[in-house]
Amino acid sequence: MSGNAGSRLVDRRSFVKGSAAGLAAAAAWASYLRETSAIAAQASGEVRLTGQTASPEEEELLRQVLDTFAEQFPDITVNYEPVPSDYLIKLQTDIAAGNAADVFYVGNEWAQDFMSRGVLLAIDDYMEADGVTADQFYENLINAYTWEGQTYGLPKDWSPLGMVYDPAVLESAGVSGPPTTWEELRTAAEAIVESTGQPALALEAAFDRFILFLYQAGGNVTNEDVTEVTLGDDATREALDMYYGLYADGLSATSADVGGQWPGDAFAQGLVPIVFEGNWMFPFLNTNAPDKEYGIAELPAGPAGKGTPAFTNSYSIFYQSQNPDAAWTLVNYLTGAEGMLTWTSLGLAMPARPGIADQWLEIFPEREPYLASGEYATAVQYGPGGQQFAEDANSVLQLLYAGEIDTTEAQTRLVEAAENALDLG
Amino acid sequence: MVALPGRRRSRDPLAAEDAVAGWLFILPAVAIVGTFILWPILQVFWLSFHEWSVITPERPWVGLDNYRDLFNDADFQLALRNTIWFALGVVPTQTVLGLILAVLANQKIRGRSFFRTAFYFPSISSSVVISIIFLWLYAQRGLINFVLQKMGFPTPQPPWLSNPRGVVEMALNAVGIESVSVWLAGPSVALLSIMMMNIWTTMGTMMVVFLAGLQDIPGDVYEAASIDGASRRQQFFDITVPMLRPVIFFVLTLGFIGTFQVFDQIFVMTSGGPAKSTITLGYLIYQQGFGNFAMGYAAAIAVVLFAIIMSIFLIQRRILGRAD
Amino acid sequence: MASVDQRAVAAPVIAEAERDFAQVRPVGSQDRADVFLRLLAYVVLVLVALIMFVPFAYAVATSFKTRPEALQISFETMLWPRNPTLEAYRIAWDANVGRWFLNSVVVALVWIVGRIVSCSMAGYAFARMRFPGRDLVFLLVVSTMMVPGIVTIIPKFILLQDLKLLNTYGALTVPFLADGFAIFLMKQFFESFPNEIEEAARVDGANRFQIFSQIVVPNAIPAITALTIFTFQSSWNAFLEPLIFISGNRSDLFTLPVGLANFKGAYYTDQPTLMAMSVITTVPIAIFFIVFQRYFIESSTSSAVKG
Repeated sequence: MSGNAGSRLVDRRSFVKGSAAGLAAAAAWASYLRETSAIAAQASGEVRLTGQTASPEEEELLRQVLDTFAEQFPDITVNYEPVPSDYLIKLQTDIAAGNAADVFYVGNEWAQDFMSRGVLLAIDDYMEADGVTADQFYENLINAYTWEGQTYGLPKDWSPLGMVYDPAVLESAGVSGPPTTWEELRTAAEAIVESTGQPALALEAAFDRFILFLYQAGGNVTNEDVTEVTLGDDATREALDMYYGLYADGLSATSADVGGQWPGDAFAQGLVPIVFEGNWMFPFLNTNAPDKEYGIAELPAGPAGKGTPAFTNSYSIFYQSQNPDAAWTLVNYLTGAEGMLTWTSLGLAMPARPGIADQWLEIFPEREPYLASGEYATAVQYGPGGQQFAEDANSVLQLLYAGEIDTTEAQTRLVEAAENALDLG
Repeated sequence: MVALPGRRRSRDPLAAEDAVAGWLFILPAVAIVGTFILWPILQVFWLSFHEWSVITPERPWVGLDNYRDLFNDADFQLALRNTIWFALGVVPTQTVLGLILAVLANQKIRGRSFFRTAFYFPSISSSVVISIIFLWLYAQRGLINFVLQKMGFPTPQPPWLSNPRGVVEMALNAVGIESVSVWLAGPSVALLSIMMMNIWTTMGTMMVVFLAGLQDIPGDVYEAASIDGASRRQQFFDITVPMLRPVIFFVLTLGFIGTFQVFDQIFVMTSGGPAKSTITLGYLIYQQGFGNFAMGYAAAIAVVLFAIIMSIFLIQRRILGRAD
Repeated sequence: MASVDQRAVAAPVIAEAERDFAQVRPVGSQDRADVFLRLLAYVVLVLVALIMFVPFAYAVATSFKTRPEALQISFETMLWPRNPTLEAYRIAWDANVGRWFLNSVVVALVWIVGRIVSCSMAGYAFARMRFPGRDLVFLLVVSTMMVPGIVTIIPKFILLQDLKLLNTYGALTVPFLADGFAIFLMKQFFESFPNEIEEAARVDGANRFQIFSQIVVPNAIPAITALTIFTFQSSWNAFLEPLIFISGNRSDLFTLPVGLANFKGAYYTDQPTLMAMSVITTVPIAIFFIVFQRYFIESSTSSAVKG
């Protein structure tokens, strides 16, 4: 993301990606009453749906999905009100105004903040009644939406970070193929810088990008039970050295440094030949650089092996929804096999149900490396207080990149930020 | 009104009419202003003594807790620093530049009203529009860097709005002085970029105001002084400046009040970043109130901001006095 | 500072003295300084005018470029594109900029009518009438000019929420129907208004309201025009309150600045369209300004000079 991503409460890309259009609930503008028909759903009434869309195409596809929903459930009228930007703040303001939609996206990074505040409706009973079980979804994804034993949302799609590269540039720099380890990454980057005079990689000064190195070094923000901050360990040190080393040696740069608005933009403009981004990048590429050739590979492995962050959004129900039954029907449809497959076919993100992964792969065979990383991808969550931590951590990394502090100081500050912001134990 | 003898009694019904009519006349305006400005001012104070997280229904009284947290909060201190840097950098600069331009424009030159119009123009356009345009100008491959590079100057790395380094600190580092206190690090390059944009926007209004003030000074005063042998410089400092005192007061007051509440530009251009170096008090209120749902806390920040602005106003009044 | 009358009287005396002195005044350094200063003035003023002008011109030029062309800066295409296109304006239109424009217009009209009615009545009352509490109320009202919007935004939000006005045109208009500065402006004007006609009408038995509506208002056109212009400017450019009081998903209620900021949040790579929206937002106020610049400039400077 561009330089000002650091203080956004949520990376807007977290929404676009993976979860694709999400709740396209816009459809159903058929706001006249129909007679109750003998369809499975007994729920009826009006449901308001909101979410963040990144493009008119996304919105359009969502509305199509909602049209299909309307055909199957004519008693339910869905009002879709997409939010083009600053989704999280707008959502929170709406909640504050008592005006939140019935169904909305919840990003994995801030899901725990919402769940711990009791703003979401627990859906376990609904799931049981309709035969939806947790194992129908990728474990790490659905776990992101469970809190104290209850489920508060169903993941609608997901995307990890993968390596997207320009094969032509790599070839002319003498790099034989996409790098598979940290060492190979550095070597390849050096060759590219030598050959093109430009940085090889666009990498932002943001914690949700640094975290990929952290995972690959075997570290994480906290331990499993979220009782202790582990950012002071050697794994974090290694990750910081690698992450900052790339930048200090001119091998990587932020998108703002090279003149792009975000790494995907920098790649599309041909400013850098390698980026670490998710599925959300490709619709953007198609619109902005339709003729550009690209290759996809898994991220290079670190000293502790492969690792990548997973970003997802759920459809969740507002705890004060006036019409939870109808809201659940919508959520169930959109996260069911049929609904999910339809809108992940836009290619913004991958299905959260392993069961339809193969069908999706038939549409996008070149994205196989993304799917493959599902085995080891970690859903990014920091625990309650995570938003605050992410903001502070972003600041630390920005100061590091600007040369204001060194990696030792950065590590100390990251630990401080985590201890101050997170709700431990 | 002249008091005519014998008329006194018949004026009473008119006065009585006024007593009622007066209130009727002011009622609509006062109702709006009272409800939507005066009442909220009182409310801000009241809110600041509560914990008001909009999601939960409880709103406990917490007394001075919010204020106590405030003064211990690193982010608040940061916002305070940034805002002070902003005001101290922008206000004197735009005032001095405005005055210089006004003096120049006051010479016997042609096209004075064209210049007046041209300079005043930026300040009438929306702050959002200007922010969007400058966001584009300040990009790494934007117009400003393009021109600087063509002229052979270096451009900041990271580029302007992404650069969190303090300018004073960088200058000190350049001459070998290390590690200064945060209070002396100066505004970040990013904040400086926004400051320069602000000066660009309002310099023209300052010029126009000063020009009007200058034109009110009769030319013969200068004539007399120059005959007495006073140099231009003496004339400027001994005649122009003192006669412009009320105008200077007005310009400075407006300037400080404006810079202390800066919000729009931060919101559109940087969202408080990079590394929180462009968070101002105004933006912090927004962040805390609508980002963190901590409305009581945000209200406390608002009260502090209000207190600072009032103090500036009163201090300036004391020092510079009123006109005539 | 000498008042107008005194200067008028003194003028012929001074003129004669000047003529006398013209023969005696030493030529030399003072004149050279004059010429130098004038030259400097021209150079500096032109330079600064250019600096004021270029960002806007560049924005306009960008709005007619395609995205790739916009990203390639060169001297040749700085002020006008090689192949001008209206693509950016089309995208802006699709993004609902027409609706935002309409909203801005409607909201501005309501502000203007509301303020003209409420603030001229109030200004007149404060200027002319005596009623209990007048001075205190005026002080309170005028002191609100000192309070920045950001300080009261939270209680205003809560208040509008309680009044169920959030996400309605009401939130964009009702709190702004009167304003401290407008009242101050009108009071100033009415105070400088000669009293005799009103006095005569009073003697004839007219009540306050008749005097106000039939005599005072028709003669207050300059002040009302100034008020209209200021209010239009404030309304058109208003950002903080419309941003907070309207949800992000209510694109139909956005005014131009809010729509622009939202669009930038989502499509921040599309420079031409952002510039096109900026142009659309600025053109109306620019036209207003150029036509009525006298009012803009004189009103603001007079309040400065009178303190």
